[in-house]
Amino acid sequence: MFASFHAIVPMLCVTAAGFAAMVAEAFREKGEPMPIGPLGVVGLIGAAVSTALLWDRHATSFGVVTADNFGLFVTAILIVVGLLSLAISAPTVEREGLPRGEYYALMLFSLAGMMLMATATDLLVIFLALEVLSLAIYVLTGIRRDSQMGAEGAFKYFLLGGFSSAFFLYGIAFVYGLTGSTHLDRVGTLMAAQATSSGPLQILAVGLLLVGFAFKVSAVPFHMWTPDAYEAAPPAVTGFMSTGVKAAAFAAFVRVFLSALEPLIGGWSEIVWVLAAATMILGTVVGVAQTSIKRMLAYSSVAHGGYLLLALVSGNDTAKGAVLFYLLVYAVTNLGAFGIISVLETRDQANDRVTDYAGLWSTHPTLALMMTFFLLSLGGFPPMAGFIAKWYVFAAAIHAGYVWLAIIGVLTSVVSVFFYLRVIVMMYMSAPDADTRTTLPAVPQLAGAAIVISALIILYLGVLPTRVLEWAAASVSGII
Amino acid sequence: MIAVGIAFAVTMLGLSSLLGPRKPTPEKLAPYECGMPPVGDARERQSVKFYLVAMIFLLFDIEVAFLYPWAMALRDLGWAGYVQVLLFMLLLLAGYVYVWRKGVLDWGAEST
Repeated sequence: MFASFHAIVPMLCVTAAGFAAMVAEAFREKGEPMPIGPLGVVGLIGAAVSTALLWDRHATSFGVVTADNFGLFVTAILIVVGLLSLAISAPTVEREGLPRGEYYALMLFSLAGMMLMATATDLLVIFLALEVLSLAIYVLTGIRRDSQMGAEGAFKYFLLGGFSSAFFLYGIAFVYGLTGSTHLDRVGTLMAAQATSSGPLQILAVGLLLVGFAFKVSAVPFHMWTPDAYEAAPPAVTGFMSTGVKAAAFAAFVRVFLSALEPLIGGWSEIVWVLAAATMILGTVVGVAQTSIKRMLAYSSVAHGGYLLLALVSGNDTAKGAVLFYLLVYAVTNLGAFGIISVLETRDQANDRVTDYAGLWSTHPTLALMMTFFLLSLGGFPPMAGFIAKWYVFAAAIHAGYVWLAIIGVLTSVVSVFFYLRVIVMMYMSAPDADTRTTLPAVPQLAGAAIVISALIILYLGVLPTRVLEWAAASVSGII
Repeated sequence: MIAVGIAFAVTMLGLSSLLGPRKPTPEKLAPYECGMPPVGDARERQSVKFYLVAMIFLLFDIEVAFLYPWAMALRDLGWAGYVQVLLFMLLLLAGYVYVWRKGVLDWGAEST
């Protein structure tokens, strides 16, 4: 009787922790400190244990959630994202006086939605998961209620997100109209059996689904909300949503487009080609012009979405493994970078202009060193993990014959190094401007530990990537 | 057929607006409020509590809407279905407790 629940146990652990956080908040007296963050850690550890136990088991729940190794690998990435986010959130919640129960509960609910999205094998369940994760993220974006910018960013994100969900649902309706099913493997078989792969209905179905996914992974031209939402949210939330949402959305993206809609690949590969090229180019070029580090990282996040799309369009097994490894590396790196932005922020001042980082080396040498690691990894410098991740993505693209796309990728990657290096140069070679800069705060221990751990992970993955790469490559076989 | 229909409708509307008598009085121009004299502008600030109550009503209404089909299929679904519905109810109960403790159901004096 309970065997049908096995595949959703990781989600249940996280959801339970979220509910515990919510109920704890309900019974918390005003101003009473309560260890709600650690509750989330307990839930995530439960999820990690159950993920490890489910590995290689191919458990299925209710026919719509499959804990195959691909989904479990993404779940593992999401658990890492969750743990690091909880650690870097703690000082923010404390400093800004955010409602801690709601903050952690929303973060955990959204994580549960992400995990569901990574393991769902039915279009309707994917849609459900998308909504669960998005609604929580919209609220988290605007969680600083007194901040005008927060409200604006959250509202923009909410409106555009609502539209994109509608597109996605409409796409599901067309898929159902074509095949009479929303289940991914049924859809795949029935699509393959159809005579044409590029009829108007097929194009509509694929196009509408593509809009929904492209919005969530902030691919150009659906990236407009990204810089505003990323800048408006507290940096800890930005780190969480830029990595978690990307991991979950790309997992479902790969699942839907490379299994269910694989028979229609002739119809969508060119469109995704253009999206990937536009995303890489625009993310990089506009990123160069930014003066705020948060906006710069937002555009860098857009560009990284482009590299992942490049892997998606390649479509072979190497590419699927490369997507998994890239998502892991990107998640850890970006969370580390946003962790640093988050600890340098004070209550009144964001301290997120590039010039605020001038002379960081002389005031906070460790932070400056860590930031260097993260930025080099984002830029794809060896020996950081970002280099290996990019290398695999480009190798997969060349292997699949997309040489031009790989060339665009390498070129934009070189250009992007310019704006990462600019921050590094600022940190090491400029003296702090005595007039304009504010004193930077001391670093809280927990967040500091999370940042150091992120840096160690990307160093490890950069120097000894073989084991994790093999896991990633092994987990894409048998994906539905 | 469609052209004739459209032409007929347009002609009738056009004729009635051309030939019909017009005697506007203040009562006729006022917005219709079920026959009561209007008391003021409709664009007033509403208490945000109404939105919360509407939202909570919707949630628990849907809960009941889910319970009916389950009750109809109770024997077919067996214990597994019972556990699932119980889980669903528990999750909603947690939400209810949260809403209650946060004072959303408190209708008393204006407090926020």
